[in-house]
Amino acid sequence: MRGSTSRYNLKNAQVIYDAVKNAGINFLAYVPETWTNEILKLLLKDKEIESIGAAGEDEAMAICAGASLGGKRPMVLMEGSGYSTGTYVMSRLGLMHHVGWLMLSSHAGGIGEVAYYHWDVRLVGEPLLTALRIPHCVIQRIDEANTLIREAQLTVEGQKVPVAVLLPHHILWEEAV
Amino acid sequence: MTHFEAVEVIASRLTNQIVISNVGNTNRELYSVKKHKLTLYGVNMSLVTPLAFGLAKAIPQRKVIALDGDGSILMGLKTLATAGTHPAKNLLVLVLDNGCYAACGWYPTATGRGVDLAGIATATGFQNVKVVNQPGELSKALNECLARDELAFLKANVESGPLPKPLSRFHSTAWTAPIALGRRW
Repeated sequence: MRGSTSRYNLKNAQVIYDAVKNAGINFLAYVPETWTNEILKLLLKDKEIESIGAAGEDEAMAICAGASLGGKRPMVLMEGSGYSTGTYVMSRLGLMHHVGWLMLSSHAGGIGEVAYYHWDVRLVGEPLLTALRIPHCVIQRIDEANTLIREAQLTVEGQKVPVAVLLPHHILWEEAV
Repeated sequence: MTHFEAVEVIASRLTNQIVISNVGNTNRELYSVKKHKLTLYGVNMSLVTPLAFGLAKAIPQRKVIALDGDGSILMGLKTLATAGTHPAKNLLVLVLDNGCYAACGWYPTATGRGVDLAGIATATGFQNVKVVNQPGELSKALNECLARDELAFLKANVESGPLPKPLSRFHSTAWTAPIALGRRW
């Protein structure tokens, strides 16, 4: 059973951080979580990225919407369950007011998820993004990260809509053998 | 001080500040009194202050006003903690507190039952917190907050009641502010 044998894939965390930088992200609002912990550490060390520790994913999205209106290239970093929390913000600010921001999250509830408490996230995570017509993708191979994150940000700027990039377990973790 | 009187005072002070306006009566009254090109009207409950906070962080050289209501700020109360601990010197959180949900039947909010928003703002790290009750006090406090380079929380206690006159038909000006600010996209 997965659990104590898992450890962070530091190399992949660096690749994703580099992709975020290449996409021009310069503003971060985050709610810490276990899976994306190493990515967050790298982002917080970066003095070119202004970071806001938010108290909830919905608030993080609204803060990034404001930063987007101000000309920043903002990103929310959060757990995948945050799409449920942030539904109201995505629909109101993202769809009604046509404000875009990037969202990078764990794919909690996706393939490789073993935690029973993310059962609901599997049910409502991606389906919710689909229902809201929020463009989204899952990075299945790490060599796709730079392209997909860059394309996601271009979609944010061109379509003026929130865009989600989801990171499954096998991207963020590696198994001790 | 009526809600409309407070809105008239606020509108009279608007020049080059960016305003994020709450929905409901605040939105309709402000739009009726002043069609301000740097105001984003009709931002839904709980989103006014976090949106203004993000904008203030992005444009530190420009004063940003979160024109919020008690019902709205109570819905997203955690943002006071976030804003208070990541101070944006150019942000003014201006709350029109009528103690009720005026747009839908005057049902009481928590402030109508005694919750002290100014006390919460102080507890969450706001250094400049003011409470006013009269139009003259609001005008003076607003002038001070706009002149100072400091995160501020200003609560205007207002009376709820029916809208004072037929108001202008509201339409969203969501794109006005970004265009005026010369946004990149």
